[in-house]
Amino acid sequence: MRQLRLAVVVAGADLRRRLRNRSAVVVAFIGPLSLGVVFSVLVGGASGRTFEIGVVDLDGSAASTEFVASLVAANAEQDQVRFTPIEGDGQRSEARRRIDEGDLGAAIVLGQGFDSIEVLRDPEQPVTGQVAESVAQSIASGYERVRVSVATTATLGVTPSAEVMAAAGGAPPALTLEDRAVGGRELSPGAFYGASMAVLFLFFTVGFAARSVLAERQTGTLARQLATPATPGAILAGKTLSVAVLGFAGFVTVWLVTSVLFGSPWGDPVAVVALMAATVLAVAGVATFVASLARSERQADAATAVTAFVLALLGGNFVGPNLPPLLRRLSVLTPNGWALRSFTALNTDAAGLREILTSLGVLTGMGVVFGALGVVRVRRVMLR
Amino acid sequence: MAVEGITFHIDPGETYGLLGPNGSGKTTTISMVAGILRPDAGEVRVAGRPLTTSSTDTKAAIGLVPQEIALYEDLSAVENLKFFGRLQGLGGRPLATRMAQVLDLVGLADRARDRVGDYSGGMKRRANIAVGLLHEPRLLILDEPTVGVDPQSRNQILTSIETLGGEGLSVLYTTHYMEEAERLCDRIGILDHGVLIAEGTRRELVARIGEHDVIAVELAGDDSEPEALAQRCRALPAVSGVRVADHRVEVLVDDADAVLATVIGEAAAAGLPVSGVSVTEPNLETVFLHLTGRALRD
Repeated sequence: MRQLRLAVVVAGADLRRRLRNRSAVVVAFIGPLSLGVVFSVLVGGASGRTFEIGVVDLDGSAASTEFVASLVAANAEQDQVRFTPIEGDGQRSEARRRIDEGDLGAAIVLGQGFDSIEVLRDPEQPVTGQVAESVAQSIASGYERVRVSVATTATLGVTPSAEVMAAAGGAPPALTLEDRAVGGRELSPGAFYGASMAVLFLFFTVGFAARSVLAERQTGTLARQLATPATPGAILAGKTLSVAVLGFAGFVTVWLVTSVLFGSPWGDPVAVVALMAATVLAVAGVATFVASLARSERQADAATAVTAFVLALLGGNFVGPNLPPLLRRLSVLTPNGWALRSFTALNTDAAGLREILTSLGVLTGMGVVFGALGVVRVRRVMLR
Repeated sequence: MAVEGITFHIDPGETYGLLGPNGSGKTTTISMVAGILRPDAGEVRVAGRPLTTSSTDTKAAIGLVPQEIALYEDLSAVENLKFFGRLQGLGGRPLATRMAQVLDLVGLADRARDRVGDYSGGMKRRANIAVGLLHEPRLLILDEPTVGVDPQSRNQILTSIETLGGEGLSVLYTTHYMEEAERLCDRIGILDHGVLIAEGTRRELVARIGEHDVIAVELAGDDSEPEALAQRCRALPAVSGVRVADHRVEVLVDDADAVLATVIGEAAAAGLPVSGVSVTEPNLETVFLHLTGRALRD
């Protein structure tokens, strides 16, 4: 109990010093908040843009004309994809020209007699090209379904209905694109990149505990503390507690600011707080272990920075929620990956506290294991 | 610096000096005495209780003033004192009272709320000492507390330590300034290459190397007879030897203070007018040079 009280004394003094230090305030609060906002504006803006797709009707029949008109009309109300009919002579060339000039990201070319569908792409807008490809495949499969139905009923000697015959002789059903996120709510870029940057900056905030041991060893204040009734464990616990409080406060600040000012809800508050706490613990453990391997404060600073950015790259902090398959596999090795996956799930309402229990367990485990290894090493440094 | 086979004790109210050049093992020794370093073998006892790195109660009997300015420069003296006082278990009114007392003792009461980083070197040293004294330790350990200090602050620090010694505080004082050791320390241990090579009072150390105090008597007038005074002094039992040069007679004794009046009396009895008297005592520098073959500040 006495050592716990002494740990709180150490934490209080450390916290006071950190808050007086502008760089600590920048790292804990301003850095993650500003970068989170910048990333969400840049990347979020990109995801929110409209895909411009041209439609070229080489068939020119009444059915194909009607299909193009209905495709444009059916998607006129949503912001994600806009279809623009290309008319007049040399429609295909015109589509190509407008793609080259950047007016369009891709174009769907309906062949004569609906016997082919071609997609023209802008190499610089691969996502628009993929959207156009998907639309083209949907058109083709819808048309093929109707034709197979007619052929099948005819083979069976059944006379198809008037509606089926009309569909078989005309255009495929109008295609409407819907923008729907898994779980019911679209992922908020503000919430994702807010959490992402908060996790990244945590390494610098909570890693300061072990780094300050190395620094205070040089200045003599560590020796002076060790000469008091406070044990090395209590001193280290106090230092860790102060930076954990600071890191958690930074996390909460990013949460509140992005939620209130930018309307980016993070999900169930209880689950969010639990996930923040587990993330702080995990990062504190890893950062303490990394810093404990260093011989000087400068080495510890460098090691912490390298570790923070490598784990951020592997964990998907800079990539967004849709990781490539290899990165998705690697991200499970990092606290960043586990934390961001769960923050994303909470953010889209795809998960609550119960669904992220595994992540909480893994993050806590990482914190305990790496933290224990780090504490053993740092304690040895303290008494060296 | 590794140390080996070091044994010494400090009585209550005694100031014990550890004297040695840089790298002789002084800081290593006091780190073990303060419970910061764990000795490979042997035992440290403070106030009758064994001390280890985890002896929380025994550590409370120790006040450490490290060689470095072991203070947070971004905090004020008051904030530093509060922090280290709380680590020593102080709080509330007792802490406030002690803070006022130690700040007054080291002469920083009027600058107590300034950031330590804004202090001069001497003020930082004094604040450094104040923290070590805050919890009224039974043993105060001072590791070269006057390094880099201006003469005025240095004198103030030494006077404070003399006062504390007079109040019954045991002091372990390391320095490589022999004049500080001679002024403050009741007993002195000489460290060299991690080994305690000699220990005792200054007089005991001097006696150990066979050096003597020298009473030099200058006789007035060209017709003085220094040999007459020399003859009379050689007959005194406390005199180890006599040297004569021109009108000057040098009398070698073990304790100049005890013999000085007798030597002056002999000159008067012989009718020899004296124009001047000086006493030279062999210092610790001489002792150190004799014991190690090198100067203290090498």
